[in-house]
Amino acid sequence: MSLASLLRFPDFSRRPALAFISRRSGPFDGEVTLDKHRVYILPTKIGVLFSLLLIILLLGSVNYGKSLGYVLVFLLAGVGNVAMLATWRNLAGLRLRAGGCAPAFCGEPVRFAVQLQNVDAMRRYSIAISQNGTEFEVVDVGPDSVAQIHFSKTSAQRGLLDAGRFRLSTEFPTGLFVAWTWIELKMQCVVYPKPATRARLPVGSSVIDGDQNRLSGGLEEYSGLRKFLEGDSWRRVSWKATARSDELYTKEFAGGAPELQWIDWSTIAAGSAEQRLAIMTRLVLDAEAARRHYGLRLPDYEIPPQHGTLHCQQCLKALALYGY
Amino acid sequence: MGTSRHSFSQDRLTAKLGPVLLGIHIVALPLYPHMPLPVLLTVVLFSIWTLLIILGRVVQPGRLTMVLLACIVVAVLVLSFGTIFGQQPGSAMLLLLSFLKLFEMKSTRDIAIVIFMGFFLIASNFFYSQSLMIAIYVFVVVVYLTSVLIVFSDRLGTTRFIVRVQHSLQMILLAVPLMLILFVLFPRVPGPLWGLPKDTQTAATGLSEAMSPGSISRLVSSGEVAFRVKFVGKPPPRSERYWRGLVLSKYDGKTWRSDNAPSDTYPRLSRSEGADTSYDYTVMLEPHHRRWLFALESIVEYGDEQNLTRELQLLSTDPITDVTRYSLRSDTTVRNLGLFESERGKNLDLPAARNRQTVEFARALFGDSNQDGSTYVKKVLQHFGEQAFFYTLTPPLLGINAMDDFLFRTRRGFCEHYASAFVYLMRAVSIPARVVVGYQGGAMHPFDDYMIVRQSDAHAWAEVWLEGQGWVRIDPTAAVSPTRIQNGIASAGLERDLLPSILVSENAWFQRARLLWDSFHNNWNLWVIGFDQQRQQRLLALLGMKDVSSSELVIGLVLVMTCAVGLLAWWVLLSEPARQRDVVRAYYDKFCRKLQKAGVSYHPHECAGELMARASRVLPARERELAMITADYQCLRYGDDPDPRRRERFIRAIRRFRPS
Repeated sequence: MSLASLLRFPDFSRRPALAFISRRSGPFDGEVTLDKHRVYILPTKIGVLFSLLLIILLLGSVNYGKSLGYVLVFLLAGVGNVAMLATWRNLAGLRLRAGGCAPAFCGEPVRFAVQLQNVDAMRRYSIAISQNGTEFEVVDVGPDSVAQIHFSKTSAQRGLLDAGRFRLSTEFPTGLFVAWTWIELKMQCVVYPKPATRARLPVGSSVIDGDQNRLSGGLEEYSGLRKFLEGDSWRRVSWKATARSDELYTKEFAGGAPELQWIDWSTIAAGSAEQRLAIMTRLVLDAEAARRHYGLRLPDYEIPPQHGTLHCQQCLKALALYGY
Repeated sequence: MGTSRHSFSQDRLTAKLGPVLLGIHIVALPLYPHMPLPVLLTVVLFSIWTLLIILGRVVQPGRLTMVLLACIVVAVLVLSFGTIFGQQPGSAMLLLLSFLKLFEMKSTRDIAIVIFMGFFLIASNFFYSQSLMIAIYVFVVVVYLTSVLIVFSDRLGTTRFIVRVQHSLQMILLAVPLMLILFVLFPRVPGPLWGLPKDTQTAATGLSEAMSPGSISRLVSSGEVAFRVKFVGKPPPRSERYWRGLVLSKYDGKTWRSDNAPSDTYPRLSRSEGADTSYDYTVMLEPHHRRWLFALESIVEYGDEQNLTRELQLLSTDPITDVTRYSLRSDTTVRNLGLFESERGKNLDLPAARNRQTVEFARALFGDSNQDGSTYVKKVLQHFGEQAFFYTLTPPLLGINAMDDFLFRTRRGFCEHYASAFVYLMRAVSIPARVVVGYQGGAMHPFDDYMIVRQSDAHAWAEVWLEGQGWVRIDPTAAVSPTRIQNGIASAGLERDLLPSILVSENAWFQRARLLWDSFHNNWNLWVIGFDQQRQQRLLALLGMKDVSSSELVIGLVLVMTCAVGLLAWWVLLSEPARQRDVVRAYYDKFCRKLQKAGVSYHPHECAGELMARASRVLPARERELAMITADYQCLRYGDDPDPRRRERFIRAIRRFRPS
C-alpha cells in the first residue's frame, strides 16, 4: 500500500475496515468542527527520509561513542514528535461551513466556497483544499477569524450538483507530516443547461401582448436599424433594408414600452427535452443581452415577462431544474 | 497525489535559496578551521555561484555541468586529503555536495535533503569537539534549520523570519523533555559497531612527545584545562601533586624524546612502611590526541583499558580524542625498583664530545661527594640553589653546547632547562637518570569537589636511579624556585603578562565566573560527554533502580516515552485552546446553545434581534426574558458604556435561562 494511495479517499467497498472514515466524513448540514475523530495524519516522504536520517545519525553516534550525537538525534526525534502534534493542531479544531457557490453552465467548472472558522488565538497556516487529487487553493486562517477556501467541480449534467467530498490538508509547520480530513458538506449548486450555439425563435412564439395597439398606433418613435439577432420579433424586421443587403435588419424603437417575448416550451421544435432546454437557455441569454422583456413558459411552470440579471438567473434556474 | 509534492516555479524556489545558503554556512562554520585551503576556496566559489543564481544572474547548471562539478569536487578532495574516504574528507565532501544539491534545486524535497545534509554536517563537528560551546551552537543551528523547514511548508510565504524562529524555538523547547528521556534511558552500547576512523591530528594544546627548551614554557601561557580530578577523600598536599605523563630518556643534545622500544617487563614495586599514603581518584582528561595518561606516582591500581609500562607510564589503548574518564589508585611512597641492563644503558647515554665543561664540573662534584649518589644529588641541588640561577619564562637561547651555556653563562631557564641539566649532570657521572614531563600542582575548585590541572601547570622534572632506593624523583626547579612547587606557578615570580589571566587576574568577579563556568563544564563532561553505560547505571541507581538490564531499559524507555508523548499530545491538542477572553461573547454563545436545545437553531448570519424574534415565536412564554437578554447583549457588545452591573445581570439571566 503506497503512501499516495493512503492519502486518497479509500474505496470502502474493498476495504470495509476503513468504513468508519466514511461515516465520519459527512455529509454535514451546517457547521462541522474538525475534531480528533476527523483529522488523520501520516508522515510525508520527506518525513520518512527524516526518520532514515535519524537512524543513520544514531548508528554513527553509537559507533563513535559521541554523546552529543545522541543529544542531536534525540532532540531531532523530539522535534519530529512535536512537529506531528503541531501539524495535527494546525488543522484540528477548525470549523467548516458551506460557503455558497456561483452557478455555472453545464460543462463549465462550478466554484464552491467553504468557510473556515478559526476560533483559536493561534494562526493556522497553509491549509490546502483538494478534490480527487487536484489541489485548488491554499489559505491561511488568522486567529479568531474566518477565511474562505474554494474548489471547483465540473458537471456534465444540468440540474443540482453536489459539492461532494473534499480534502483539507496541511503540512505546516515542517513538511514532515501531512494532516488531512475528508469532509462533505451539504452544499449544492445549480448547473444551467449548456446553451445551444444558435437558436431561432419559432414563428409565432413571440407574442406582443396588449401593448400591440400602442405599437401600431405609432406611439413609439422609430430610432434606427440594427442587425437581426436571434430572438428578435419578425414583426420588426425591416424588409426594405433586408432586401437591399442580404442580411436581416431589425427596426428599433425608442420611447415606448419594451418589446415582450415569450420563450415557450411548446413552440420549440427539437428532438429531445435536453435539446429544447438548450435552445431555450440560448434564447433567454439572447433576450437578456438584447435587453428585452421576456417570459418563460415550461410545461409545469411559468415566469412572467421581466428583465434583469435576477430575472435571467431565475429563468436559467427554472430551466436547469426542469424535471427535478 | 497533487498535494504532497509542491513544484515551485523556478524563480520562486531560487528566491528561497537564500536562507538555505546561509544555513549551510552556519552549519559549516565550526568546520572551516579544520578544512584545507582548496576546500575552502571551492566553498567560496560555490557560494558566489549560488548567490548569482539567487540574484537571477546565472541559470541553474545543466546536467553536464553538474557531472563536471561532481568531478571537480572529487578532484579537490583528492588534492587536499589524498583520498575521499575517512572522517575529514567525508565532512568536506558532505559540505561540497550540499552546494551541488543547492545548484540543482528543483522541489521542496531537494531543500529538505540539503537541510538533512546540514544535520549530518553539524554532527561531524563532534569529531573535533563536544564542548558545551559546540552544544549551544548546535542548538542554535537546529533552531535555524527547523525555521528553514518552516519556509518550505509555509506555502503562501506569509510567515516573517521572527515568527518562523518563534515557531521553531517553541517546537524545540517542547522537544527537550523528550530528548532528556531518550538520552537518559536509551541503552548505551559500549564499543564501536564497525571500525573507528583514524584520528585526525588536530592542534590541541598539551605536552608533545619531545621536550626541548621552550616546549613547556610555551604551554604555561595557556589557561586551558588539561584534566580534572576527583579524589575519594583528601587530595595529596601540593608538593606531592606530581602528575606523571611521559618518561623521556633519549637525548640528542637539544631534545629529549621518549624511548619507544616495547617493554615486556613489568615494574618492580616496593612500598615503604608507614602511614597510609594511597589516594583513590578519577581523572577526567581533556582530549589531547595522544595515548599517554596522567597519574600521581606511583600507580598501584588501574583499569583494563590502560597499560602500564615498566617506566610506570600509563598508556591508553587508543588516542584520547574525547573527554576520557579513568580511575586509579596511587601510593606516593611506592617506588619503582626495577632497572634492567638495557634500561641502564639508555639512561646513561649522552651525546659524545659536547658540553666538556659540564662533564668536568660533574666529575669534580662527584669526587667531592665521595662517589655517593645521594650526596651528589644534594650537592647539585645545592649548587642550583646557591648560585645565581633564575627561574624565567623568557630564557636566552642556548648554543650547541647547551648545558655549558646554561650552567655557566646564561643561568636563566624554565623547568625544562633545570630538569635536562640535572639529568645531564647525573648521567655524566654514570648515575642512571631521565626526564619526566607532566603537570605539577593543580588547584581544588573553591566551591566544587574537584581539582583543576591546567596547561599552565605543565612541568618537567627528573628521576634518578639510586642503589637501594630505586627510581627517586628529584625536582631541580624546587631548588631554584621553591614557591613554584609550594604555591603554584602564579606565585613563582614569573613574568605575569605571560601567565594566563585566570591565574593572575585580580578581579574577583572574573575569577568567580571563570570557576563557575569550569564547574559547569566539569558536570557537562561527567553527565553529558562521559555519559556511558556506567554513568547510566549510576544515575538509575540514584533514582532507586539498581542493575537495570538493557531489555528492561528498552521497556522502560518505551513506557516513559509513550507517557511523555501522550502528555504532550494532551497538552498541545486536547487542552482547551487559547481563546480570546470575551466573557460577554462566551455567555451569549451559551445562550445560543440553550436555545438550540429548545429547537431554535442559531444562524451565524443572523443578528441578535432576528434571533430573538424567531425565538419568541417558538417560545412565546419566554418573550420578556429573551428581550432583556438580547437588549443587554446589544448594549454590552455594541454600546460604548460597559456597565458592570448590566454585565452581572446579563450573565445571571443567561445562567438562569431555562427555555423548556
